[in-house]
Amino acid sequence: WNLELAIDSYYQNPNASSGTGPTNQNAINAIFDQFKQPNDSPDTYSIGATMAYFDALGLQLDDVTVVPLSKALSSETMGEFTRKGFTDGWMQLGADSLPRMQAKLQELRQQLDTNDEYFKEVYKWAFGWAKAPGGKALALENAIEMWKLLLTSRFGGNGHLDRWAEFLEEKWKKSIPKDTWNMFYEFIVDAKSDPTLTGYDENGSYPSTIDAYVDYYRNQEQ
Amino acid sequence: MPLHPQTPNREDLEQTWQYLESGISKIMNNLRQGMDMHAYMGIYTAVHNFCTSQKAVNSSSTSLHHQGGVHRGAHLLGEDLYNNLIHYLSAHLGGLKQQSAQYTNEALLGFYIREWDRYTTAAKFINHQFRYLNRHWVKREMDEGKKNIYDVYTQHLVRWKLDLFDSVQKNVMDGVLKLVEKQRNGETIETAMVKSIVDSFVSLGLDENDSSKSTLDVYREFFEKPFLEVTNVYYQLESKQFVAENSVVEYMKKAETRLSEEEGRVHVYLHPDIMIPLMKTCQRVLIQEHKTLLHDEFQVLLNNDRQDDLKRMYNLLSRITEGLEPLRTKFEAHVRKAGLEAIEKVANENADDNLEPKVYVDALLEVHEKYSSLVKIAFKEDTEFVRSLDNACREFVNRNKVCKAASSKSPELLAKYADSLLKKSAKAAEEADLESKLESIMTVFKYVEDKDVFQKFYSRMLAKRLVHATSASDDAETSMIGKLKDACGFEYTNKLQRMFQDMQISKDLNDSYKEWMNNTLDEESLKTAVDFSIQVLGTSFWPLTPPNTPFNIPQVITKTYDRFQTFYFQKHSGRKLNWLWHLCKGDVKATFARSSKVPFTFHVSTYQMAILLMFNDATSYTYEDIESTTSLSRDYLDPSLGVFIKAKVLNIEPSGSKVGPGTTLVLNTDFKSKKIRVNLNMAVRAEQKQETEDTHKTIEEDRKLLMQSAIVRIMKSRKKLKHAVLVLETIAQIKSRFTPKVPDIKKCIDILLEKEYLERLDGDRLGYLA
Repeated sequence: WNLELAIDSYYQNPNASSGTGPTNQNAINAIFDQFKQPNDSPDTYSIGATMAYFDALGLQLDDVTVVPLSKALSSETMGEFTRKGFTDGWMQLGADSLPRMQAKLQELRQQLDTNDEYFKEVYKWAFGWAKAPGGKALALENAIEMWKLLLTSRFGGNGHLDRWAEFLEEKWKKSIPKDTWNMFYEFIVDAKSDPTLTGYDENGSYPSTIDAYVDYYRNQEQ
Repeated sequence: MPLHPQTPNREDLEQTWQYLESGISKIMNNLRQGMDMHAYMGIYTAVHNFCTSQKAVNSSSTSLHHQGGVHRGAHLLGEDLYNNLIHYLSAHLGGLKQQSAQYTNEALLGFYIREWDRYTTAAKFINHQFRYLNRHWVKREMDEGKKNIYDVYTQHLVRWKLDLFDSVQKNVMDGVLKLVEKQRNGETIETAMVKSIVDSFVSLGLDENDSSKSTLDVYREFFEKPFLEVTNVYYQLESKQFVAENSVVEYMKKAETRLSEEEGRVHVYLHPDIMIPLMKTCQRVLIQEHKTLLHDEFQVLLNNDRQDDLKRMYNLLSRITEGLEPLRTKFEAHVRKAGLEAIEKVANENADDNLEPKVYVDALLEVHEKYSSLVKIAFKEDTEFVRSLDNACREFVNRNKVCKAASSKSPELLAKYADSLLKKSAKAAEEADLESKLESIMTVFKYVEDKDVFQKFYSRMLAKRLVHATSASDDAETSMIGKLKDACGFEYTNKLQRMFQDMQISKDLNDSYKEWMNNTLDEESLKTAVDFSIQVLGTSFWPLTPPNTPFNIPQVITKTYDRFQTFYFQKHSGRKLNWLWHLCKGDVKATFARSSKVPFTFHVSTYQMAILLMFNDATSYTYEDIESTTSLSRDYLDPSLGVFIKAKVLNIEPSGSKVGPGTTLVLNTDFKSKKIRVNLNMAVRAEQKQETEDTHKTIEEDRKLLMQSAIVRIMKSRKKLKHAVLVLETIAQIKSRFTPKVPDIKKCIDILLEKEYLERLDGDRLGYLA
């Protein structure tokens, strides 16, 4: 998608990227170096560098745009970037100055809000990014945070998101495997059109965690 | 002498016809008086001559249909003869019709049959005499597609049908039906008469397209139809009346008789064509219209075990469509109820823990036996009834009062029953008797849903029988395993068979160990060696667990222990031996008792042996001493001591106190026993209960693995599969072992997704990851 998005934005907004000529890789490298912290190794951003960089962009850490940006810059773990991911990503997005990067953030945010396919892709990608490196499952606490960050604006309306978090904390109390993460997206999409879950089939293909949630929900509703 | 005139002028129609008519008339009315060859040939010749004459005298007055001279010779002339013949027949039949009016009922039948016979006999002759006409004129007319032209014989039948039959058939049928009613009422009738009528009706059916063939149309319309109508009315009336005055059972007998009577009627004097519609009619009136009554009676008959009447009911209702369905439903419910009640009875008579496996299994079998014989005798082993029986049995075998807590109780008790049969005991069954009892275990086994539970318990108990050498007969053991293999396949009994193999291997191993000892040990060591035998059993096949208590091997047997290990590791390097002390036993000779000069032999467990051997050095030990010397945990130590105290081998001090710290155990030199061999190695009841619980626990784990491996197997071969289909196929694969629940299968799918054996694809599908 990266390329597509880049081409897309090129045509929509030619001045932002190429108005003054092709994107300058050296300029991007320079920006990368600008925010590096004394203790960081030469080609990586730790959380400190990331925060400084985000500050300069005017981007809050709990802004949902962080997620698509991290994906665009091939961040492997929350709050960390590599030089390669950073420069390749910005080259592809076509921004080599802080003001242009800020403009790109706006575009990413808009894509996320309007393009369902793109949103789903970011959502699925976020699991691997948010979990602890090496682990298979996502710690419950982090999972709930990510869900709230990503889904509240789209799916917060019918209360299932909050109830789900409540269920996980009260009953489930375990980390979240990838399948549950992915399938919860399908579930919350379904729940948007069927908020009372009348059409939910326990024998269907949802993982048993979600079966247990529906059971929990129905018991509470009775 | 023949009175016939000379052969007529071949060219004169009137003359020719006169000649013919007198001959025909003779044949028709006086054939019995005979006809000589000359006259017979005369007619034949006259027809021939007339038809072949070139210039016939065309007397228009006798020619019925003028065809305007288009026809050539023979054809035109043939038509005149043909029409004259029709004319003659109509007149003859008209006469018969008038005569028939004076007859009714049987007399009418007699008249009709008589005239029919005469007429058809004559028709055959006349047909023959007019053969020339048939061959040429008739054939040509028919070839040209003329309507209402038939060969002369058929023309006779056509005239009969039109000029006589149509007006008298109703009266004739009335006579027939009255006759049949008489017979149905029990009178004897002349059945041949009806048969003749039937035959004559059948003869009148002509195929419009091909006169050489006949159809049953006339018969069906004028005989079959009214016959069936009257039958319907008759039995409707009779059955209604009968049912009002008699019991249902009596009615069934009546209906049965009536049906077989009607069937016989067809064979004796009706046309076979009526069989199906007649039976249908009778079945509708006699069975279909009373089926509710029969269905309602079924339960009563079942409750009273009325086998013969049930059989009768089955036979009747099997004749109508959907007749048996309500019986099957009721039968299934009845058998289930009977099974549940039988189990409830034994459950109430025996406390939960005390329910003898035999009592339970016998109760199941009794119900099965009773109703399977009913299915055999009364329901002709109808596959649908067999299925109902199976359904009912499956229900009460797996879900009854005893199984209330868990359906695994049935297979557990069944396996225990099998153990009680296969174990050595005082009241061991006869070989043949044993075999039939094993068969009956299989009868119940077939219905058990949790076959894996049976397998678990069976293998544990088999292991015990083998380890303790308490199996009654190798043949019976093999036979039982063979049966299980037949029912569930090789995989189900694989481990059981491996257990047998290990026993054989161990036998050989003991022999070679003895040989090894003879070769390696000096004489002195051989003399002092403990008499020893061992079984080496493969960990993965035997449901045995290592002991869960520490244990100091008594000095006396350490040599043997080391020696065997040396021998074994020489033979098989790299193997590991776990010593299952809790399953070992030994005999010790006890010379301490003053009451007997002959030493007692105590049959003890190895743990008990370790305790007793301490008393070679002193006659009294504190509980703590024994505990530290043997290092047995109290779970094992206390019961072992308990047996000694109970048997008065040891005395406890202070006397009467409970085994435990602070007590002292003293050798009882006053020990007495009637027997020289004393068995002190008794299993502890608490241990058995623990074992049962453990068995159930391992079953849960095994089931998870079984489901997961089934899912992986299915996905491996199918690669991509809808979630719902995978669930169904998993159930199908596992059903033979136990009935898996969908949520459990889903959990297993979750686990496999997490372990990345499976992946999610679009649209509810799952994919296999190699």
